Amino acid sequence: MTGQGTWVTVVKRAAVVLSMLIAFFPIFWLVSTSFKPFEEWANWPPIWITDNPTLQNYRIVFFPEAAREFAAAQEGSLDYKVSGSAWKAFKDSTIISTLATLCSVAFGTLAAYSIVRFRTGGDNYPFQFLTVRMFPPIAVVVPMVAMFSILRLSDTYWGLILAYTAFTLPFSIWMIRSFIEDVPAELEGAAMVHGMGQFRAFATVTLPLIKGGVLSTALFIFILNWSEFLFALVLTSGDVVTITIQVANYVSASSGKLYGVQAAMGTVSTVPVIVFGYLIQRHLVRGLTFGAIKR
Amino acid sequence: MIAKLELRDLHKRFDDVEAVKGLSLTLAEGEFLSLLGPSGCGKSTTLAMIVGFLQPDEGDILIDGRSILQVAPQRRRIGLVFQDYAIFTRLSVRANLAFGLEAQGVARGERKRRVADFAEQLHLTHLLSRAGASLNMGEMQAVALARVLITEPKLLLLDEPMSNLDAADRADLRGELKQLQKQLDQTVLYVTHDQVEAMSMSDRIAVMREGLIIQVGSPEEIYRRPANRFVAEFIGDPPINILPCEVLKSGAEISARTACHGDLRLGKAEIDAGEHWLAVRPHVFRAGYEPGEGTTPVEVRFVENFGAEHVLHVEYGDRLVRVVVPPSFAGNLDTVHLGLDLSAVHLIDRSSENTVPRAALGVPA
Repeated sequence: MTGQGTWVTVVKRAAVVLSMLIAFFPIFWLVSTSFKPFEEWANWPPIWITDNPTLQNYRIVFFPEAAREFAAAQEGSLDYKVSGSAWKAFKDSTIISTLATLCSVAFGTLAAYSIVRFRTGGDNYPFQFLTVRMFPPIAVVVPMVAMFSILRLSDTYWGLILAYTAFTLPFSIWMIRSFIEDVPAELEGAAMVHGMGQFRAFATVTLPLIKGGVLSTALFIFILNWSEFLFALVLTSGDVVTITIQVANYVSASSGKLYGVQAAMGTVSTVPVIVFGYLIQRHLVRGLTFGAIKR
Repeated sequence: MIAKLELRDLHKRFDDVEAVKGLSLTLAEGEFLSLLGPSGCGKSTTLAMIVGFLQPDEGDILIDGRSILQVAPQRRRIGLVFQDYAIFTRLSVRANLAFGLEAQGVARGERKRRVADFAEQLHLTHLLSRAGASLNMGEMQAVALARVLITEPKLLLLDEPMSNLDAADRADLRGELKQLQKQLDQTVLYVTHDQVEAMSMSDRIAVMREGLIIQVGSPEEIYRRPANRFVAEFIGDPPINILPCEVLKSGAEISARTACHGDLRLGKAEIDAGEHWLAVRPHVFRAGYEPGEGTTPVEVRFVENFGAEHVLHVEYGDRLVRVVVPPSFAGNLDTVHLGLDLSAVHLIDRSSENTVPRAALGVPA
C-alpha cells in the first residue's frame, strides 16, 4: 500500500469514528445523566460518568412515593404532575402509538396497492401525498385544536390516534408503494387466472412478499408516533398523557428542569423501540433500503 | 359450429395511444392460433383483455358463444402462461401445481391425486419437491405450463413463453408443445413475435400490426401469399428481398423490369404502370454457373454459411439481395447467373403496399 493510500484510509476511518461519536453522544449523555444524583445533573464542568450512581431518577419515574418524597425535599415546589407515576404515560403512549401505527400501515398498504396496481389518482398522486407531509404540522395545529374540541376528540385516545394516522399515512403509502412495485403484477395475475379474486390474490401472493417492508415501515411509523410531542401537547389536557408530555412535565419551580428524571424516562422509553426493532431485524435490512433495490 | 373464442371489433386506448383498434378474430375448438406481430403491436393488450386484466373500450369477447366481459378473471376459466412464467418462487413445484386447484376449492385428497397424475403425464415428477426458486428457465416454463393445464382451462393463452429459453430448448419445446396441444385437444392462442414459432406450431396465424390484424391464414398461406409488404417481410427466414421494379402494361398483361432483370412477364394484374416493388424470397431465386434463359450475371459479395444451405449476398443494382443455394455453391467475388421463378414472386403496389393478386401466365389468381 502506498503512503497516500494509507492516509486516505486513516482519514476515512477517522471520519467514521467521528460521526459515530456525534451520533451516539446524545444517547450516551441520556443514559449517563439518568444515573446521576440531583447535584450533578447540570454541573459545570460536565461530569461524564458519575462517581455516585443512583437509581433515584428511575424511582421518581416509576414510584409515586419516591416522587412525593423528592417533591417534599424540594420544599413542595414540585409541579403536581411530577408527583404521579409515569406508568400512565407508558400505557397511553403504547395504546396510541400501537393503534395509530396499525391504522397507518393498514390504510397505507391498501392505498399503496390501489395506487400501484390501478394507478388510482393518476401518476402524480403519490407526490401529492409527500407534499402533504412537507406541510409543517404547527401550521394546522390551531384549526385542529378547534375541530377536535368540536368533535369531542380532544384529550381522548381516538383523537390522537386519528391525528397520528393522518400525519403518518403519507409515509406509509410512500414506503409501502415502493415495496409493492417490486412485486411483479404477473404473480397476482397468475393467482387470478388460477381462480383467485383480486383481493385474495393480493393477500396470498403479494402480502407475504412485502411483509418485511411493511414491518419496517411499521417500525418507522411507530418511532414517529412514540416520539411525537406537538399534537400530544395541544390535543390533550390531562386525561391522556403520552411519554413525551410526561417527560416535559418533570419540571420544578425551584430547580428548573429535572434533567436526571427526564433522562431516566427517556432511557426507559427507548426500550420498546429497540425491542420492536430486534424482533423484526430479520426484515429490517431489506426493508430499510426503502425497496430501492430492484431484483 | 360456435367458435371457442370470438373477439368482436375490440378497441382499447391508453391515454393518447390506441393500442388495439378494431380487432376481430375467431378460434375454433382445438385450434392452435398464433397472434404474431412485432413488439408494441397490441398483442399483449389483446391477451390482457381476453384474460380480463383489462376491459376493452369497445367490442365484445365471447367464449363458447357467450360474452365474458362481465365475468371476473378468476371465473373465466382461461389459462395463461406468462412470459416470465410467474412461478411462485417461495412455494414448491407441488404447491405451484396445486395452486389453481386449491383456489378453486378442490379437496385435498383429490388435489394430491391430480397433481401426481398430471406431473407424471408431463414428466415433472422429479421436480415436485423442488422449490420454485431453484428451477432453471426451462423447468419454470414446464411448471408454468403444467400449473395452467391442470386446471383444464377452456382456452389456453401463451404469452411469448419461449423468449427466456435458449435456442436448443426452444426447438425441443416447439415439438413438445404442439404434441401436447393435440393430445389434450386444447384450444391455444399463442402470442409471439417470433415467426419461426408461429410457422412451426400453428394451425393458423394472425399477423398483427399497430393494433390491427393484417392477415389470418394457415402458415402456408401466410408464407405463400402474404397480404402486403409487412407480412412478406415479417415471415420467412432468411428474410424476403424487396426489389424496386418498373411495371409496364400491354393490355391486361403486365411485365416488370428490375435493376438486373428485364421483361419479367407477370401475367394479368390490376395495377397502374410505374414504380412498384417486387418481393422475392431467397429460395425463389435460381442461381447457376452457366447463363440460361432470363438469367443475369451478378457478383457474390459475401456468403453466410448455415450448414445445410448457404445464403449468398449478391450485388443487385444499388442493393444486396439474398439467394439461398446449396453448400459450397459459390464463394466471395464469384459471378453467378441469377434467374427467378416468376410464379412465386409477389408484386407489391408501392402506394398501398398491398400485394397485387395476379393471374400468372394464364393461371387464375
